[in-house]
Amino acid sequence: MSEKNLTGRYHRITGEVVSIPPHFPAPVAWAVLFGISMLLVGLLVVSVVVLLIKGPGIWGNNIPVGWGFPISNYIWWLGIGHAGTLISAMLLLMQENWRNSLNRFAEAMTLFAVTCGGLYPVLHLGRPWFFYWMAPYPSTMGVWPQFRSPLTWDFFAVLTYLIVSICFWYIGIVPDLAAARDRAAKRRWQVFFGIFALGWRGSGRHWVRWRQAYVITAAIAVPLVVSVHSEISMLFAAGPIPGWNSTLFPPYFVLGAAFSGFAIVTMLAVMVRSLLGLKDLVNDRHLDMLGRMTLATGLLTGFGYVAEVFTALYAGSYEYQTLIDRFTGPYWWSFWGAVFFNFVPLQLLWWRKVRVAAIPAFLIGLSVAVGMWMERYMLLVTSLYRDWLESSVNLFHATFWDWSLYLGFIGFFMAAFLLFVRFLPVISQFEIKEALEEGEKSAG
Amino acid sequence: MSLADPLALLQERFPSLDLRRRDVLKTLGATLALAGLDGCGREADETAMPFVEDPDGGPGAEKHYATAVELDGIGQPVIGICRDGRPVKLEGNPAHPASLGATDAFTQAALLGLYDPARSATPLRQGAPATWGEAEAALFQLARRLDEAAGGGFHLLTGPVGSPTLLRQIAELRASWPAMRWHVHAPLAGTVPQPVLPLDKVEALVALDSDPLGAGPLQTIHARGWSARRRAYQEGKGDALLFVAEPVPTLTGVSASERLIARHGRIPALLAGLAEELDGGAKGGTFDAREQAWLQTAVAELRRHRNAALILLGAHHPPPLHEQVAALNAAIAAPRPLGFAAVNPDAEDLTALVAAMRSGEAQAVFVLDSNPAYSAPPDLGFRQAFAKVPLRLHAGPHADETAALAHWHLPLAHPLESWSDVRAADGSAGIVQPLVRPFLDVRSRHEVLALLAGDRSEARALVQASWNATDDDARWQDALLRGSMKSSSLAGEGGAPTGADLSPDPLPHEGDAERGLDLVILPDPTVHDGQFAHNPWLQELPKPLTKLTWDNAIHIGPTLAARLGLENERRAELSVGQARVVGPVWIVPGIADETVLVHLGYGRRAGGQVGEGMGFDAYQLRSSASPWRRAGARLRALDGSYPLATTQPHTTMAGHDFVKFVGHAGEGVPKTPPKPNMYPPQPRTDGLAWGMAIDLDVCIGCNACVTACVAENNIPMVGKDQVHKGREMHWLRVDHYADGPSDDPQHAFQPVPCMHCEDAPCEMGCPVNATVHSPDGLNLQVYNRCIGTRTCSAYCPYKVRRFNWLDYTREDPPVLRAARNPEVTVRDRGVMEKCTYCIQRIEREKIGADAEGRPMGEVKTACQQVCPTNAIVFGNLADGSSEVSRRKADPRDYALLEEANTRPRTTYFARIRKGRKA
Repeated sequence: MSEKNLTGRYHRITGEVVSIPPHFPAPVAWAVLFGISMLLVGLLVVSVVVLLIKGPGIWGNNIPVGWGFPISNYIWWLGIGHAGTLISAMLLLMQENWRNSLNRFAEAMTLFAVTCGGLYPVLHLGRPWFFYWMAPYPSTMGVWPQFRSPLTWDFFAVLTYLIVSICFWYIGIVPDLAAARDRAAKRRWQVFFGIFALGWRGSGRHWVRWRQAYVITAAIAVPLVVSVHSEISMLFAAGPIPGWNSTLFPPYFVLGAAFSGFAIVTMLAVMVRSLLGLKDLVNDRHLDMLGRMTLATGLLTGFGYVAEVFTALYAGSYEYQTLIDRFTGPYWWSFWGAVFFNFVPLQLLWWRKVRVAAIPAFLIGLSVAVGMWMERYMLLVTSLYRDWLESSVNLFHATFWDWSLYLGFIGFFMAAFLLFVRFLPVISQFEIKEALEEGEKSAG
Repeated sequence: MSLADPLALLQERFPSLDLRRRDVLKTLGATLALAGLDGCGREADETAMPFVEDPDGGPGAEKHYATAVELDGIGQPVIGICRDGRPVKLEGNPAHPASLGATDAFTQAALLGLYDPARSATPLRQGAPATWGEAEAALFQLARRLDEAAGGGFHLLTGPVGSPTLLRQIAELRASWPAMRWHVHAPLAGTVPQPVLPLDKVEALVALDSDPLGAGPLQTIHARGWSARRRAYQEGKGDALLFVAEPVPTLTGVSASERLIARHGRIPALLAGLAEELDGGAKGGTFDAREQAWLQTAVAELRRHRNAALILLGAHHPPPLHEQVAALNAAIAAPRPLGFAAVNPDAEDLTALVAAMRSGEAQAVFVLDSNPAYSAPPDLGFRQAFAKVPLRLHAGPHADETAALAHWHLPLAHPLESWSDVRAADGSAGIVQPLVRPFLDVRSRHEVLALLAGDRSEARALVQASWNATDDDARWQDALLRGSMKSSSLAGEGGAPTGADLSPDPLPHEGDAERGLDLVILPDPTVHDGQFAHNPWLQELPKPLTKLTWDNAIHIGPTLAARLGLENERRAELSVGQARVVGPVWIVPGIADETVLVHLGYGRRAGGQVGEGMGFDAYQLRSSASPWRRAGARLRALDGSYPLATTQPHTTMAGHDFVKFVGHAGEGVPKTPPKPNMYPPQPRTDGLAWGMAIDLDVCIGCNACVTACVAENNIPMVGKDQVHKGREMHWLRVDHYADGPSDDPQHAFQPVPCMHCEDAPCEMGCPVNATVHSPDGLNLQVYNRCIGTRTCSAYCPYKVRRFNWLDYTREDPPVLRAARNPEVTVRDRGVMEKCTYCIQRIEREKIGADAEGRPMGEVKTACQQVCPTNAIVFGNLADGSSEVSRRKADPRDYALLEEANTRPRTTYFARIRKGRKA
């Protein structure tokens, strides 16, 4: 490819990406999806208001199942978030350039998922307005958080993760914001992008500093994925509850998180590609790589299931009872549902043809999202509803408000994502160009 | 000077008052402030005698009054505790032989009855509010008419009367109106074995279809006696054997060393078998292997324990069988009952009243504190007959079903706010003194009856008249202080409680296959005959053997359920004769085959919103001839189900040994060496280490502790829906297990408060330090630091923590707030709570000891104090001489879920299977 051609192609990429906000390609589809999302956001608002007025009793939680949807959904959302960080930061550090088409919206997905996930434990509190008591601030009463509690560390972990994710995503988007500013025709777009581009001029020094910041943030973000979800798993593993109290949990949770995250990224990639017509930029190779990642993390998660069963058989007594409950108890559907939705359609990803086909890839992603939700639900509910004493056995039944809050958060996630694709450069154009450049170089 | 000139009036009364504008405002302010003081002033009647006067006597000081509440005409001696003029807790009267400091659940809940917002507040004429003046006029008019007719056509209907004053008043009325008639309606007559049994002396007790330990007015005294015997056995002094044959599980039956499930029809055969075996073993009847084995052991033990053995037969069985039992007891020289079991001998029964009402002879009927429109057997036709009476009067605490049919309803005062007297189970009479002035426009039953005699005396004078006493009388003052009158015991004298005589029993005793199911009707273990249907503490109290709340159910055994294709909560139609009810099925392991059990007290149609419409009315299934057992019942499955709220859906131990058993007294549970533990041992400072020990061998599952805990710790009642969701708030629960074969399981009870683990997982889980450990070993919950993450509950292996899912307290009406213990915080929404070992009692003792410069004395938790079997003991483990330390040295001591390695401070003693030495 000649130098001129390459420049022309760069130009086209910039055009393709930054012209999306001013000249949105699919306004009708966007409007419909956004309308649905906003309806769900309305449901979210109602659910939260009712929750704050009446209290957590509107949900199905009880004693013994004191944690219900809010905690299992919290874990699910954060798990989804992790794939964004993994794709973006880990692959950046490993210099896997195929990530460059996916990282921007994967990072955005992380932000929105962590926001949804992070709000859950706050809303789940009996007195949410005191959530900041988990923070080690200099209180006049001299009281501190209780540092042995996994929740305290959870609070730090999620907050750190959210801040680092915001930084990483924002640092990454700055050069594109500048490009969008430069290309914007209307004054209001110029101002909008101009403010957020932080005076980026694309000088060599800018690029050097930028590169340093970006890689360092990525290096911070990657271990966070492991620590955050390990920490979340401690919420369960630290409790002396059969079915929870196992050293298996940290890796099991991290892998499950990555698994569900890659599944959701696949779904979003398919959506972005067809909605915004970016078939050139999010191409078959990307779907192929996502499929492989999903398959790999899925198989590792499957190994977690086997290890868990082994642990229960090895421990016997209460652990064994919980295992049998998972197989045949009142929540058998959540166990077998998780096994089915997580691992059965997944096997199709062994074939490249399936991996690169948009609709099958999307459906498999959806199946994994459902399966992982069932897994989180199963791990929480089947352990709590029957732990030690037979006398305290009691069932948990989700209520309307459990579901409405969950759907509301899905709506919030979709709405935020749609706003992102509508108003910000969804794909990192300069990184794609860089990838192209490197590709040319290595080819040449 | 007239009122038309208020300023002048003021100046005359208060010459120092300079009436300028600012002073007027100041005076107004002071007036308001002084008016507020009145809020503290609802003290007891000025002549009531506090038991102990607080030395400070300042605001908030506690005053104790010895008094009594009444259940089925039998006094339950209590010490009423008042703060700022409000009764806040009832404790058993430790000086009274019928209590020894304990009470049952009903007595604990009587406190809430005082504050019941549904209580009748004003007289009603034809359902419309009226004044007492009008009511008095109506009563005087009736009295004048009756004076002329010598009482002809006048009928007085009461419940069982145990008040000497009431008996005197009735006697006087009858003296002045010889033609009047007195009837007693006692819907529960025949449920409790009377007279009081000397269970502490009985080393071998055979109970045939009889439940001396069951809920009722004699439960406390019987449980005291039985547990005293059982404890003596534990210490190696004699045996404590209990043989029970019964069709449905009762508290006595599940405590038995040998329980035989016997259909109602087998009881006479078993009795005959006992008689023959005792005589020398001539085999008359045919018995299956289980019956044979039971009979042989029972008879062997009866023989072995001559002079200390007793045979009991359910009071509803026919007189010939009772004669047989009396003869057998004489033969084995059984200890004599504690001479007190008289009926109101000269009263007629309800049947006679209905006959009089039907015939038109009854011109005026006065129903005093009884509710026959609800609790009369339907075949009597009370309601229809009552409606024919020209003048119908009703006096009672609630505008109930009978009030709705009456021309006049007069609201009666609660026993805790009026003067009266009553005989306790041991036969001694006690004075009922008010703890508080009535806050409603109500009068005592004595005052109402006196009005009928044209007497406007106050209740105190009426009671004093019965005892020839005055306020200054030393004997009177002594009775008020001690709770019982000296030398008032009945020595063979008649005239005290219990209702009508025993009913004949038409149920054929030898069964034939065609006759359908046996129907067993019992009073409800929590709402009794229905009088407590409006008491939320009792409605939400889990029933001992089913843990159901807020409802009654049709109980059948698993075999019958399988045969009829019924499962829990399935709607079914139960019919016997013409009567039918529809209710949900609840399966209870241990009910005899082909036997159905229902409880009375539900299906209330009036009297308060709490109980109305809950459950079904089992009175509809009774007949006046056979109120407790019916033959030929039919049970049919209907479509649909009806949700029941149970606090314990699972009753098996699933292969674990939460309740441990040992074979004989002296035997211990196997000790396991302590597991490795990363935590350091908790330091014991100040020489204080609180702990609790619960003896499962004497726990009879009576629920007194649960109710006492509710009263002491302001535990909110949450209603059926919330219980159904698994959100009951009880800090102390009594787990019930029925393990083994489902048709004849081994039952066991286990009270579970917070274990106060030394290595508490909850403390590790809480992110904000809201649950922490105190130096004296308490696991504390800091409500105002709690943000409600519920981690503590998730991590608690015992699941004893309770969460305020919704706002359970803020909408309580002011009258219910008055019932709260001011020493215990009322918890807010979104906050976790749990048993504190009654920390307020510990702190009070600590403060008292500090103030007086003495070492801390004994602290009793509310559950311990109320327990009629002394199963619960609490104290300082650091003090080797404390009772709890001594008891924990028992080889039967074990920790629940020892495998969880939480080192709980609450431990249990294994239950002993047999009641005789190895």
